[in-house]
Amino acid sequence: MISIEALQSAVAMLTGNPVAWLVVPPGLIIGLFFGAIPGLSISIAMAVFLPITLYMDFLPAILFLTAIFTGGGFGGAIPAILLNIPGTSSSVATAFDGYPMARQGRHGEALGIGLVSSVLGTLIGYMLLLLSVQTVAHWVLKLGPTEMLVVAIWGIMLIAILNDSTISKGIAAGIFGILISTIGYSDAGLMRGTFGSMYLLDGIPVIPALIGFFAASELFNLVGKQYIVEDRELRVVKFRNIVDGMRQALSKPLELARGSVMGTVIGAIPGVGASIANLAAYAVAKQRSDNPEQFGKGARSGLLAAESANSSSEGGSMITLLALGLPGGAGTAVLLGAFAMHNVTGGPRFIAENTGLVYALILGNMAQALLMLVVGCGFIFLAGYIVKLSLKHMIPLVLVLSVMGAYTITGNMVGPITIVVTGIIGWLMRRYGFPVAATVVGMLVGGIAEGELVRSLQLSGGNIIGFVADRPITLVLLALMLLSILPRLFSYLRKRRQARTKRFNSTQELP
Amino acid sequence: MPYNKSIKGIPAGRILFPVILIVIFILYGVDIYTKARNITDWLLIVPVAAIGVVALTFIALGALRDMLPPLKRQSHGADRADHEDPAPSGKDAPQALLAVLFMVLLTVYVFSIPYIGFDVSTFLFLCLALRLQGENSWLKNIIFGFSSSIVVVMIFVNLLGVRLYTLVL
Repeated sequence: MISIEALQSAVAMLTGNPVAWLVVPPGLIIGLFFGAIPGLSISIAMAVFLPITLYMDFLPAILFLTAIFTGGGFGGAIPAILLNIPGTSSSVATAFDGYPMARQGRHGEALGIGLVSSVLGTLIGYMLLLLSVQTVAHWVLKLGPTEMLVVAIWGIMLIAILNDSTISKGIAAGIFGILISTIGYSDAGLMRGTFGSMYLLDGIPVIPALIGFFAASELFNLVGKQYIVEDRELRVVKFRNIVDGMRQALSKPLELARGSVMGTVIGAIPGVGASIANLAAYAVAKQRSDNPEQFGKGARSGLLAAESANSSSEGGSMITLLALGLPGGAGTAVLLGAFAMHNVTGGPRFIAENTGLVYALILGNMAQALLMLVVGCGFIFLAGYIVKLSLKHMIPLVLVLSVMGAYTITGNMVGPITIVVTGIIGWLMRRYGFPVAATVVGMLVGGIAEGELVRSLQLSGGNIIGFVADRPITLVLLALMLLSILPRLFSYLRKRRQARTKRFNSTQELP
Repeated sequence: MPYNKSIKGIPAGRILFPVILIVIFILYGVDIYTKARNITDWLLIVPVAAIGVVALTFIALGALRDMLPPLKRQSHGADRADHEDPAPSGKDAPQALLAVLFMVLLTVYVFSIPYIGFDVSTFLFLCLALRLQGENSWLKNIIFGFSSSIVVVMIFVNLLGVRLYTLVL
């Protein structure tokens, strides 16, 4: 299950690379900071700080970004508990019981529970990843071009379909991303969609586009918004209360484990991620509780389940990223961007050929989670002030960092211009209900999909349908893809029919 | 009638945006198909663009149905579908205008960088961005813009070793 040799090599990598550890505390603080400010999200933080990792080796770069990811997981819980404003979309259920606890003057206890749940959730998520990664890699190596094509399409379809928007908008957004990925010289040497510009010969620069879609467009959306809060007492946090909360969380190991395992499994499904894990774990905890009526009124179990699940989903999403090269959501999309920046391709061969490195990443993240216990504890004392930082000042400052970061990546003005263009397109997409994450994933996976499609055609000698019919794994994957998509499709169609009937009845009643 | 409000509130962008994307998808698909030397050049792009056009047409038609006058809509009531659409209702127009002005400011900032450098353009951008968001005290804006632009440019130039084009620093 675990390769001892690779484990030793991972420990050697981590102990012999002090930079890998130096970048972790700043990463955690950045994540906590961005997560704690309502409006700013983990993906904005990861996207904005992605260009800085250009100067790091691969391992420290990924550890820095995952530290932001981990820090942001708990950071989002802070305004959810203190102000009833989820700092990120993955902290919605955290507010259900966290805020009532704060209203009862138990905010220190709630933050303690949230911190320990996040730390243990992250640890359990990565532990499950450590145990499963070899087995997953073994199976994934059996995938050929047609299977990888189906997996890529499946990933995009799930992200396109499992979102808050309509299915057609999800598909259109995903396809938009795929088409963007084809701009520039193709592998076969054809120049596509460059409008005659020599700057586009290498295609749209992925990292600035990613920053534009995720960060700039969201920041445009936040212009003019302010979160008004009145809660001076919340600035006072006692260490004793935090420790008390931590102790209470540790006294419920089974509930912690249930939330964490759920989060990991849900996180591994592309397009679902931490937000759903957070809500689903809360719902299950309520269902299984002996006192479900206490949920929503300050139940510790609800907070514990919600926070452990959103943190452990990080480990789950890393399974899909490392094994298949598929980003499950915004955070892992940025990580895939970092992989590309360091010329590393995630996917079947990556784990098999770099098992030591993968283990180093996992162990580094587990150590990172423990470090967050210390950093997060200190951060809680400042939390009351940080949640009130002015968005007015943060928005232009983060945009400036994005523009300079993009310039750093491309070395010319193409990066900053890409941020402006994709930021505006992303804003329009958000405004008209198109899921931006689907476009980014389409952009990142489009190249893989095209490569595998062409390879499949070449291997099949032109008869791609006959070729696919002879490959049982492809057929099983296709069946699984349909099975995973059909429930959402049926529910969508059912809702449409119900709405139609309702509207028809209401028009009949009109004079 | 409850319909009137929502119809007035639907901006034309809900139709225009998918229509523009349809045109882009078609032009791109046709361009690739005409320039292709063999099937592998268009194998992914053309079918995918076609699916995208179908999806976008569906979206545009949905938005168009929502914009039809109330009487017509009643006669077509049975054909309408619930779009579960999170698109804007038009009530957020002032906020949208502010966002658009902010985009214009960012565009001007980025295009001014080659002429006045990262340092000066960042300072001006930060001051104006705060003013645009309703921060009326010029003194505060200038202090924030000045200190932030110096710190950020110094971090990139001295700490990260990025060769940013600057005018003063």
